[in-house]
Amino acid sequence: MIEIKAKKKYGDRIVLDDSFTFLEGKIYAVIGTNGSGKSTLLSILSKQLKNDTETFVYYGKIGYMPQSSYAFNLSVKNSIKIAIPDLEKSKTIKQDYYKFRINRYLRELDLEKISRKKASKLSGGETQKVALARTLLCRHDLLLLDEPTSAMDIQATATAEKVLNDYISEFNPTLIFSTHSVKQAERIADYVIFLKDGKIIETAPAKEFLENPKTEELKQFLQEK
Amino acid sequence: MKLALQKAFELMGSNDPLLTNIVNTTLRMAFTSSAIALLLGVLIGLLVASHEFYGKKVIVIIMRTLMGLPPVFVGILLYLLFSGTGPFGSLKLIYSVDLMVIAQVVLITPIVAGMTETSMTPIVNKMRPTMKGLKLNGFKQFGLMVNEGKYQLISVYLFAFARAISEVGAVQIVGGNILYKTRVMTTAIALNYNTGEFELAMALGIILLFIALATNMVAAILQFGLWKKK
Repeated sequence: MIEIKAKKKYGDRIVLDDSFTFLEGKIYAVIGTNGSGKSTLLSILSKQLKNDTETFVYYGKIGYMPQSSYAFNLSVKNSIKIAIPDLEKSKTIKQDYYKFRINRYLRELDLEKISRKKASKLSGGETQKVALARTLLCRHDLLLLDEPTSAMDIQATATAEKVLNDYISEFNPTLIFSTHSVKQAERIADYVIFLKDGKIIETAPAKEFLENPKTEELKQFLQEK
Repeated sequence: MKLALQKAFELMGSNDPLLTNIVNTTLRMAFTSSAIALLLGVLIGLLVASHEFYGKKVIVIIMRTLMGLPPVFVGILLYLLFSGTGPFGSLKLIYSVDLMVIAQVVLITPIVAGMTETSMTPIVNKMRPTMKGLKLNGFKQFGLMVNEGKYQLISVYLFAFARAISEVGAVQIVGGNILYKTRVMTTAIALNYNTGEFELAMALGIILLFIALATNMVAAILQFGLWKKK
């Protein structure tokens, strides 16, 4: 079980202040309007941001894909390749393993044709595909994805979700992802957390959550969606 | 001015051994010091740009202050340290090109570090979440940052080189302007001015400008190539 009392304050403005519990091996979708604290939560869990109350301790391997992944001035293939862990670079078997995984993601995410193209010249959706492939290259115990498909079209989103599902079947990580798409939360997640002004308004299993919202805030949010 | 320009071309075409020696010493000193300063300064600049730590603002202010380090002050300081009676006198570096290079490294490194920090911070800030998320080691991060900032770093190097080749105060003091040993273009210009040979001083100044122009052209070609590849 992953537990955290997350708090982040910028000046007088509290952007996140609540306790979160995540079951290992489960998938959580974090939804909410802009500024609700979704990205802050993921940044704290990924240790990019310091928690105001307590240091977040997690001993497993954490993988994190930020909301705006940087498109390096490298080829698409090399942009994915940089995620290969250094210690494993020297081992031939591992090298073959990563080579296989890179080629697989290039193929599955439809990046093969542009594998030699500079990543910095890609569209927003393509950049997210590269970032997703890079994040999924290694095995992670805790996978944190901040709006991983926000710039992708419907077809690319479906492809990315399939790749993500395959990864989950393969490694069974605890996945926490933020999204603006309620449908995506329903498709992928076991549980959904609805945040507003840095606080959990409602959390429940995905189906129950969407079919039977309990709070007025969530009802309103779902109506707007 | 016309006479100085004519004299400059005459000197360049004359294959004069003294001028050749001065130009060679100038280039050796400027390229060596700017290259060392580039390595050190980029490393410091990127370290500061890529890390958030307590007292960072103070470090940045100090770095920016050191960008204006007076060359004569550095010259005197190094003279006191490396002259016969100084603590490093036994190294016998006084009045040598090596000490002139050290003086220039002291002067230029803060400029390179400050300019690197300023020009790279916006880029590094965009890269940081991704690099941190991927748990990349320091070497990998450094390599990626240099790769992303190639265009900016060429400009930083040009500035460092310009400062190295045109500096006179510190190299005059620690080098001593010794003929066929430590005389460089700038100290030669200063000497000719002091002895009233304005025409020759101007001619040497024009040759110095040509050297700077040639370096800038190479850098511009490199930058243009990078820009096209982007």
